[in-house]
Amino acid sequence: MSDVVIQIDGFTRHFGSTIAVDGLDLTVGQGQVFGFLGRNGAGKTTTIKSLLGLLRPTSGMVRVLGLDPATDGVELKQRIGYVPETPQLYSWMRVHEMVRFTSQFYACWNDAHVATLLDQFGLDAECRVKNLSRGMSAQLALVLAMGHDPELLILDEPATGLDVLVRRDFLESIVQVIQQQGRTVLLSSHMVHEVERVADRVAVIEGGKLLVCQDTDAFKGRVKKVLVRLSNDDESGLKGVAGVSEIEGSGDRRLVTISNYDESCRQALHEAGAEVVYVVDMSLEESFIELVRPHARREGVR
Amino acid sequence: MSPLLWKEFRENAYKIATGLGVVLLVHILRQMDEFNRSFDLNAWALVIGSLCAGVLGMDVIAGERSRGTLDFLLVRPTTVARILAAKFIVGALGLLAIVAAFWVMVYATPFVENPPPWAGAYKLQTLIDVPWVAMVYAWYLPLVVIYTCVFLASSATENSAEAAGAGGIIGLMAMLFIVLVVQFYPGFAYDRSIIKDLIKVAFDDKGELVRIATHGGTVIRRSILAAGLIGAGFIGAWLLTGRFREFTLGRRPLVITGFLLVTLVMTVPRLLPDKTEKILPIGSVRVGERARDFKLIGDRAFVLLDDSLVVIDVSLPTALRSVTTVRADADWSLSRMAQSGSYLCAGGWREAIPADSAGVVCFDITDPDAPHISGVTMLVSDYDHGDPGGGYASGRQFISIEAVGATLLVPNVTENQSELISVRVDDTGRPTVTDVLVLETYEYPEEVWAGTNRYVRAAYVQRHAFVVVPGEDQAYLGLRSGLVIVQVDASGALRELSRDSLGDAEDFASGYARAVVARQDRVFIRRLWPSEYVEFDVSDGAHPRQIRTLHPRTTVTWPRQAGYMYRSRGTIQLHDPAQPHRRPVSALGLARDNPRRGVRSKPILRDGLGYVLIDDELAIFELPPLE
Repeated sequence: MSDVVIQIDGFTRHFGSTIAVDGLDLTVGQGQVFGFLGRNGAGKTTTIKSLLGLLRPTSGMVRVLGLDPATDGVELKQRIGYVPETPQLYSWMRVHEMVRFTSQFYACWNDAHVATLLDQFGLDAECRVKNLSRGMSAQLALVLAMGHDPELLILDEPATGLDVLVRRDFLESIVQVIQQQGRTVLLSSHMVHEVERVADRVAVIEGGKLLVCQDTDAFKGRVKKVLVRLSNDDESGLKGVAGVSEIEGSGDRRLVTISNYDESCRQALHEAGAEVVYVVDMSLEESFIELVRPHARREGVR
Repeated sequence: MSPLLWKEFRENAYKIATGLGVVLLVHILRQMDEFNRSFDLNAWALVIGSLCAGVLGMDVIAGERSRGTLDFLLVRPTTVARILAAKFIVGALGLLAIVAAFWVMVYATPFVENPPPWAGAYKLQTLIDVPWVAMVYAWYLPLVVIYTCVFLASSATENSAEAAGAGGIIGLMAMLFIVLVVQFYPGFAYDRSIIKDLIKVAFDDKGELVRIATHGGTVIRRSILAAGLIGAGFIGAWLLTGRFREFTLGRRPLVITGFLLVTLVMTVPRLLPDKTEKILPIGSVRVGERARDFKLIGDRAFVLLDDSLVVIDVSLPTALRSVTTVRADADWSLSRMAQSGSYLCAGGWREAIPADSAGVVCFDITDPDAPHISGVTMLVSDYDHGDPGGGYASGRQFISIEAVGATLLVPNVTENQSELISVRVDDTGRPTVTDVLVLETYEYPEEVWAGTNRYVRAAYVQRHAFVVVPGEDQAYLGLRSGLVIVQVDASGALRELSRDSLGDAEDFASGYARAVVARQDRVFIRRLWPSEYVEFDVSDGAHPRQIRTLHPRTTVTWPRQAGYMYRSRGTIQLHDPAQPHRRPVSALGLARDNPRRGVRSKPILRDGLGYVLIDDELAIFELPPLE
């Protein structure tokens, strides 16, 4: 089990009568870049806070690096780096003060690495934090999270609220960091295309429940759009085919969205009176949308 | 811990500096006379202290939470306890610095005991009676309680404003709770027993002068109690919420907690037994409006009214009887009496021609049941300073009248000098001005005389008014400039025997003797600044010898009757003579059924009975026995 970095079993967390996370099971292996996907309010941040020991589970078990975050928080945090959604730093400090202040919490601190990263990101050590742009603040937060060479890096919706260019730069920084180190990374986001670039494996959480946890490629392959030609104009037969979530189009052509598409689906479509014209691969984002949409509809939200 | 302390200090430095700046500002303002006169230490200390407690406490957690930096700290490998401790320590030390600076500032400036003239009749315990450290300590503890409440509220609320509001309310509730229920800190005023409890009191054999020293045991007990309260608050909060990192108490529990506290505060003190014994007078008699002073001679009480003397038979305390009334002219406003042999001489004001003037009316009381006016004299009829007060700077302030043998001594303050007037009462009871001894000369600012504000004038008179304590053939005067001993001849002639300057006469606060106590051949001068008692051996009046100076701020006067303390609010409080600084054992309610009725004189305590003027009555109370 030594290669399991994060293990979550039946994690449930209530806030009053609200159930934020409901029976979540998740395992993240060592060296993985793990994409943690979900819409806003899906329970991502609650889960991450419990990983950091900031929240106690109402029930269930959370283990990070083999430790219980709720009881071994101090030891654990020596080994975790964390970049929050909108990193808020002490605006009155200078960059070097911020680094020095942070470093004093940790038993070991890699000054050389920090200096390299600061240099790489073009952060001036004498600059006050309040004078940094948002992108630079985010980069500084990343540097601070990396300074103690964490075994696990947790990024909670990084780059949210940054403009396109800055976000691109910041994501590049993350990619650099991840590639250099080859450490375990938990990347939470609702911006799915960001995750797509880096994640080996993704989990989707919705309404506090885990919908899927797969390798990225497998996940992307789960859902396909299939263009079919109907032998007659009656599409009612299509609805009976397993995995069909949406039917678009009119006349004798229909674009059918199917989860878990495989050859058996082709046969099923044929039996429903539809011939497959061609099959379209979908991006991670589209896969995510297709996966989450039914749940969103159930809530009356689109 | 150290990076946290560094951060907290850097973040709070400007707040602490602002607090110190406010203190400095107050200090500068206090250099201005007008401000200094109306400077209310209690109010300022409370305002500055609780504002600082609020400002330092409100931001600690809620500020970081609203700025989003709290998570930054929480994900560092350190315990929440350390984060909170660093925050608490820095704020608490900052508060201590501000409180200490405030009282350093108060002590650093010559502090003038300046009750407004209209309140001057009431003797107030003064600041100078209290050691500085005790003062800082006594103020710091309650402010730390407020600070802690705001601090805790800050960890329960989402932003600083909420924390300040909730914490302020809970803090005040906690204070009220402590004050009213636990009696741990009985009040904000510096003259309350929290200060007195901190100091050890020792009477001299006359029960007159008291030396006090800081009471170490009490200080330690108080500190432990305060630490316990604060600790209990934290533990309670901890238990209430599980852990601080999830400390989200929410508004509803806060409101409910506040409501419960208010309810407790309102109800619990009422449920506690009231230990003060309220006693109604055993006898009283109406003497007339405007009773000013009274003397108890034998079984007769002589009550001085504005323009008359009323004789009361007090031989039967339960059946007081008005014997007779002697009237002087109706334009008199008599205010004080002194007894010289078989004459009672009353000093006061007369709206006389050509100008208002002070004078003395002597009553022959050889037959106490049929007194008559034996003579009248005006004191300063030959003055011509253009002052409508006929020499009295106040316009109408009669300071006092004392008797040395057959000579009456009246201190007088004019617009350019203070003087002692001697009035000889001859064998037939006729008073004659025999001598005027000039004690100090000065120049008043023009505007004091040009202005019509009589309170401003009265305040200047207060500065130069002096205390006269009669001896056998001498009088001891406590002046601005120190102790003056005056020889009073049988003929009424005055001669200055000695003058012991205690300070700079121009700096009226520097040597100002506020109280003089004469005991056999010893005289104690309580000087105002620096605050100390100076004890003189006056066996040779021409060469008084300063024996010792009791250390500043370690001395205090105590009420004249050991065991009983007169309070202006219509009660005589009974104190345990062994522990007079403690809370009163019981109190006599003097004001009878109408709480607004005023006590008009210091009570005279004699033979287990207390005699006091209340409004238009002379009332007699039975004193409970001292245990």
